Amino acid sequence: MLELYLAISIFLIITCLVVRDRTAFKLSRLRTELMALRNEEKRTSEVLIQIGVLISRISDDILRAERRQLGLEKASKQLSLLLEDLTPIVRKDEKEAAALSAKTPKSEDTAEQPTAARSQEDSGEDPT
Amino acid sequence: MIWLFAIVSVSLVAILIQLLLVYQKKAYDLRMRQERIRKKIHEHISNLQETTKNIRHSASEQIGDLEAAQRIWAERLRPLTKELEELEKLMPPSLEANDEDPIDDSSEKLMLESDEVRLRELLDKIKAKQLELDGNLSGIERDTGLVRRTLEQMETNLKQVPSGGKG
Repeated sequence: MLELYLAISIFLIITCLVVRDRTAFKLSRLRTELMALRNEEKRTSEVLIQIGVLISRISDDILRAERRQLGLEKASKQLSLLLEDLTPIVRKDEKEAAALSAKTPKSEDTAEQPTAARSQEDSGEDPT
Repeated sequence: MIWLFAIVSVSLVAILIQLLLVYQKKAYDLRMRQERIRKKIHEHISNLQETTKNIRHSASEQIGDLEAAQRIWAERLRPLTKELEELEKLMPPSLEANDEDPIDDSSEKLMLESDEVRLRELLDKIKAKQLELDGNLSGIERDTGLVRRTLEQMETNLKQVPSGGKG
């Protein structure tokens, strides 16, 4: 009987040790998983923050481009107006310059005539 | 002696049960904590997917619009630039350069000078506007390129996101 009790006691002690070891192993595995999940969560929240920054950057860039587009519209209107102003002036100027160039040789001719007459008078010849 | 062994056996059984209970409680706590973290990760991921989906959609749409607008403006600007070049060619040479011109009439000269000043002013304004337009066009191109690059960077960042925990 005593041997039986001794055997039972030893069996129980061994069972206790085995159960303790197995559960300790399971618990350590669960703890490792938890740590990994925490790291994952940290990484995900970091990526979320980074994506937020990138999204705000994208919105800024798009807003800037839209502002530029508005500026483009405005500047192009102003440019066409300025060109409309400039075109008649340049054309008029061109005509004036053409007229002036047509006029200039004539005036040179008329300016040359009296000197020719004068030289003829000086030499005592009749200009006719 | 038998009593002693009986007490030892009962205590060992009690210790065994106690151990099992304690370990089960710890495991339950750990699992609960894992579940909470998994939930958080899933929330982050769904948030990410939602926002990136929206921004990707709207950004690509706006980039398309902006690029189309840029092309249209570049095409519209081409004839204006051509016209400006033609006008520049038609511009009379500066009066200062023609000091030997036989224009004696000072009032006529003054008039011509004021006309030229006006012309030069207009031309300067037009050139400034043209520069502004060119700057805006290249700015739009630069901005759309930046948006594209940022979108690519976002995709790369999204690839780094973990799958959201297993189990």
